[in-house]
Amino acid sequence: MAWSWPNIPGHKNDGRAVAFGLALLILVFAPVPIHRSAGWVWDLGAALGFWALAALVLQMLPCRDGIALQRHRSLAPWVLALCLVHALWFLIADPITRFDLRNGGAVHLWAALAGLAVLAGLILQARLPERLRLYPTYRAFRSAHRHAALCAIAAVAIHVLFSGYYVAGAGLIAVLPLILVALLRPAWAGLSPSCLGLGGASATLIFVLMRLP
Amino acid sequence: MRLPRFIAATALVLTLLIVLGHPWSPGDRAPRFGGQHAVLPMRFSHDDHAGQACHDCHHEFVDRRSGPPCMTCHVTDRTVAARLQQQFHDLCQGCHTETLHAGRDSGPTRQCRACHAPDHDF
Repeated sequence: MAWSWPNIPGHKNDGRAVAFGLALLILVFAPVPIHRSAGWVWDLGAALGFWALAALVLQMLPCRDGIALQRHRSLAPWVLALCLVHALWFLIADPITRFDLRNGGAVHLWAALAGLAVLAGLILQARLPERLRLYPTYRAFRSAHRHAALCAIAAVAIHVLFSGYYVAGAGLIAVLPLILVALLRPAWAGLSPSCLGLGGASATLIFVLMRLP
Repeated sequence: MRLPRFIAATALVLTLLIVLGHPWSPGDRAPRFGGQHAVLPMRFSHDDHAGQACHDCHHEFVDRRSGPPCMTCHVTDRTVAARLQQQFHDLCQGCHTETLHAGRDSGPTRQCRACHAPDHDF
């Protein structure tokens, strides 16, 4: 049986564009010589983090389409799960990394923990029973949600920037969201979760493979 | 496994690993190298750095001072002990990273356990 890209009824199938865009995004994170590798274990861990970051930024693409809102909701737990797997991978593969998350640890790792906490909070407070209990109006919820999301992005940006290994400089971080918006906004409403998964997994694999000796 | 359960399980394992430690961790922070400052184990091999100029690391050669092995001062002198981690990461990891980025073979750049191993102390 022939395999085909998943489609969303009533929407243009742009899955391939999204997968391509995601792959391109993660490659954009590394516009440096390929020998900037820390070994496949670390490269894979970092690629998982870039995948999570790509999905997080993708979630924030502005779009009024109702489908896009559904995508925003369904993507959120996947972003959190990817962030957790990214952290867990490092902790299992390199036991010493746990000291960076304790007293005296690096600021960018504490920023990552803060970002994780804010992400979890964003998901929990957006669930319907909690949302109605916490916020008197939808407008109040939107405002709080948006501000918390900006805090999450700031924490993640500090984490990526001050990790300072694959991503060469602040300018690159600044242009990444613009590249992402330009590439993916047209396809956002047609995005299916499996496309995102496939795109991210392909890009992660490419990220690691291109650095193998 | 459903996604929320996966997230909860991953978060739990993550927290346990950070708080309680790793079953196969190479060692905890402890007073080492004759000082009171709790530090991780570290390994260093002069043989692996044969191509490196001595004064790149041994600043006492430049300062024209003599004294005990470098780690002794760096864990006992209060003025520098607090910056031990940053200083040695800058020196060792910084040099390895520069070498790697220049396209040459280098020592470990990111893997913590590659240097923080108890089998080959300074």
